[in-house]
Amino acid sequence: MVNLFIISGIVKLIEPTIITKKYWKGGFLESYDFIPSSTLTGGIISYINRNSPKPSNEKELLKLLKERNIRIWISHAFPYEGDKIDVLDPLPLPISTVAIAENTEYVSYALLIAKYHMGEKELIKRISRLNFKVPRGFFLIKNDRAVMFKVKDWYVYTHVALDHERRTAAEKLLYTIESLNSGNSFAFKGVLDEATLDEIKGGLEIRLGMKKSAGYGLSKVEICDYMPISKYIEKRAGQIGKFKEKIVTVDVVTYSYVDRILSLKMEMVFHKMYVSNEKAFVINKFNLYKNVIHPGSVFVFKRDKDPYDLAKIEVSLPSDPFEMIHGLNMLYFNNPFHFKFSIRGD
Amino acid sequence: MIINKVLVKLYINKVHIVQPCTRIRKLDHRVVFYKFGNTLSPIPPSSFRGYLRHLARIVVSHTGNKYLNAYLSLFGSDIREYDPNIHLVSKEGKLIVSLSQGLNESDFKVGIRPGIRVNRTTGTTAKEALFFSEYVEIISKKPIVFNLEFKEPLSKEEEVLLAATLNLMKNGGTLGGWISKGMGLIRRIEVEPKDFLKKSLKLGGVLG
Repeated sequence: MVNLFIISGIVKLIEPTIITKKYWKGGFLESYDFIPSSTLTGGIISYINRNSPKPSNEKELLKLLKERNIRIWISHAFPYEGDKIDVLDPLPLPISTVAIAENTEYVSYALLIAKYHMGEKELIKRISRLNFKVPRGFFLIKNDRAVMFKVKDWYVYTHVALDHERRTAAEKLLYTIESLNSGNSFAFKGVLDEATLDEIKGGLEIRLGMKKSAGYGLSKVEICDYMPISKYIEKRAGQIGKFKEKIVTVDVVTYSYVDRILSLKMEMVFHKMYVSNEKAFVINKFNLYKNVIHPGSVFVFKRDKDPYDLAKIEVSLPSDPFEMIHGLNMLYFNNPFHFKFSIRGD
Repeated sequence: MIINKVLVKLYINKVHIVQPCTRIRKLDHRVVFYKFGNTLSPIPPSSFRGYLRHLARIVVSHTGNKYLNAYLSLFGSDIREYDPNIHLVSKEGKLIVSLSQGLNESDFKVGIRPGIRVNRTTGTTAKEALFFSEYVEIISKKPIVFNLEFKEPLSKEEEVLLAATLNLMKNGGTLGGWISKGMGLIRRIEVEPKDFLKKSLKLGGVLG
């Protein structure tokens, strides 16, 4: 039996970091605005394994995970400003149900529409007063106010490959790379086994993303807070049960299968989701995950489950080791961001 | 002695490494600063690595391809070594270049210079030829320090190749554009460990 811990931490970029999207057009390599789970986990595993030879294929990686009993399930790292994030705090998520209220504050309309569908028809007046044109951002309740985080700045640089005979730029070898600039910081959460936690507790410096040999990707990972999952489940059950309304919201934190949502077996009232195919690399190959729900998608259910069971689902790891290291199927229940607007009323 | 790390201090007065800019009629090329912690550098480590690769390739050609394997393992695959009969699998090199120390904002100033393009055949000003470009002048004469690290220990041939490359840079290297306007001339380099440059003594000339 492995002792599992839940952790929260911050990634600070020291050098610009390139993490490109799945496809790019022409010579422009577009960057993500967050650090994907698979990139971060890969960096941590290679740090743990730094004194042994690098696994050269999938089988060797599986063997390494099994031999050392490594459990590592980490969320994406989302843009954040601040030095500390607690385990029980929600992450800044790219929530898809954000609107701007009359007092120019960011609010989530998920619960309003859910309640409208459940029979409170007069809510349509409040919904109609919202402004739905909101730019992409990462949202969080901080000191009782909704805050939006974004990537602070980008570093865009055009690279040229050289023709060494003529000392000129080679033909068709001009490309532009967009990268996250140094100084940006990101917050993440995850579940680790005890041995891995002991090794990275004091903080670590790893290189993430592309072009690591050309001055890109150096970053510092700090673990801010950790606690055993049994303790976490108890505390989270209290938090989830705090909202008296017989309703539960589900935020998708990392790419998740539809089956994961359906396995909750509660009556769905509202959903807003984006679905696509995503790929993640495992040593020279990639795994394709078909029809996965994007982070920031929101579901609202009628609550007929014990908060204790829901808290347990938050920290239950995927059984497949690749789904685990790619951070799939992470959910977060009853984000206070959704409840703030509807509780206050008016 | 196993060498894990080589520090290169680069003394340079003016640099012209620029990117296209969209402010038409005001600025066509702008300087992009590479940010490392709190310091800035007008020379990104990627440009410096590309320049090292460029010089190393000259050394390889000059010495009759004797150091070709060392070059490929140090810098990674080269498009020139592409063999159509074998499927190209690109391989990364063991050299990691990162910035160790950049400049503060008071150490340099950014100037703008105009220029024109000349039609090579007629010798007259070309159409739509006027342009404005930024450049960086380092006033404080502080060096920009690069850190060369290696994923695995270097072989003897790789050490000689790298030393010869740095010697070539020391003896009249130029970095970036507008060399004919007096920019990018490398005045001086300092290398740590100090005796590293002596490793290529037997090659002689500008290489040793």
